[in-house]
Amino acid sequence: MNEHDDKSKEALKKMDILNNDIYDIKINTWDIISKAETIKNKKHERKEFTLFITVCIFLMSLMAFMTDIFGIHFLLYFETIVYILSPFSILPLSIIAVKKGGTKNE
Amino acid sequence: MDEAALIEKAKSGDKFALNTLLTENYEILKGYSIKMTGNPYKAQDIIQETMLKAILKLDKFVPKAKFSTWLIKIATNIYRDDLRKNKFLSLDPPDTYDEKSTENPEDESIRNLEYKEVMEVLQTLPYQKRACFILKHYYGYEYEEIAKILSCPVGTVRSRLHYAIRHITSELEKRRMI
Repeated sequence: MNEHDDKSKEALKKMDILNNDIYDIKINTWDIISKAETIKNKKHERKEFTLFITVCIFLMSLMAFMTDIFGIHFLLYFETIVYILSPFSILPLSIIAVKKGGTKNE
Repeated sequence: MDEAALIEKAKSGDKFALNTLLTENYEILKGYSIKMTGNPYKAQDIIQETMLKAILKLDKFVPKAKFSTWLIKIATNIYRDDLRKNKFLSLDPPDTYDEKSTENPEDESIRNLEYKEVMEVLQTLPYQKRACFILKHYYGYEYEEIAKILSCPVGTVRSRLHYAIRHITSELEKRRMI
């Protein structure tokens, strides 16, 4: 048993040579970080695009359904209201979004 | 800056903190990958893939254990998946990879020869037993920590380690290295 233990200890001591690597592997961590950023951005863009398409299909289906129930008048009234109200909603929202984006970058 | 603070900064988008985190843990990851694969080209691929996965999943990292332990777990899983994909392929360690050159040439080539022979002995172990041995012998992990990294019971870690030491002793004896 002692002989076996001694052999094991000798073997483990021999294995310690691997503590000092002989291979010089060089990795550029900044390249990897940049690659990860690209992957994250692509994923984000894909999600946004899918969401956009889904919302568009939903809204167009809703419009078609409502037009079918209430008639073509609904479509005309709805579009008129949207064209009148959109400058008063989209413009202020865009300004807020731009301001938020500006403070984030600071 | 301590590791927990670095991780928080890295999670909130600080690239310098992230780079520091990766650089500080690079040597451990490199040493582990080389010992697991026995092949510097494969080790380089595994290191790069591990770092990439770690960055992409950084938000999921909970600092219950050290960051290096998490990197080692990712590296082990990548190597395991790679083994499954390339079941019938085996790469012999190349002779032409850049080697560190610090001593006089004669001592250096003797040391390199011995290193490669010992590495060959390590590679004769099946990867799960190799991982247990590397984590215990070279990095001083406790049985419970190794069990968490390799997702196996503590008893399995003990028996794998016992087998690994017996196998290594017998291989070294066969090659008359002890």
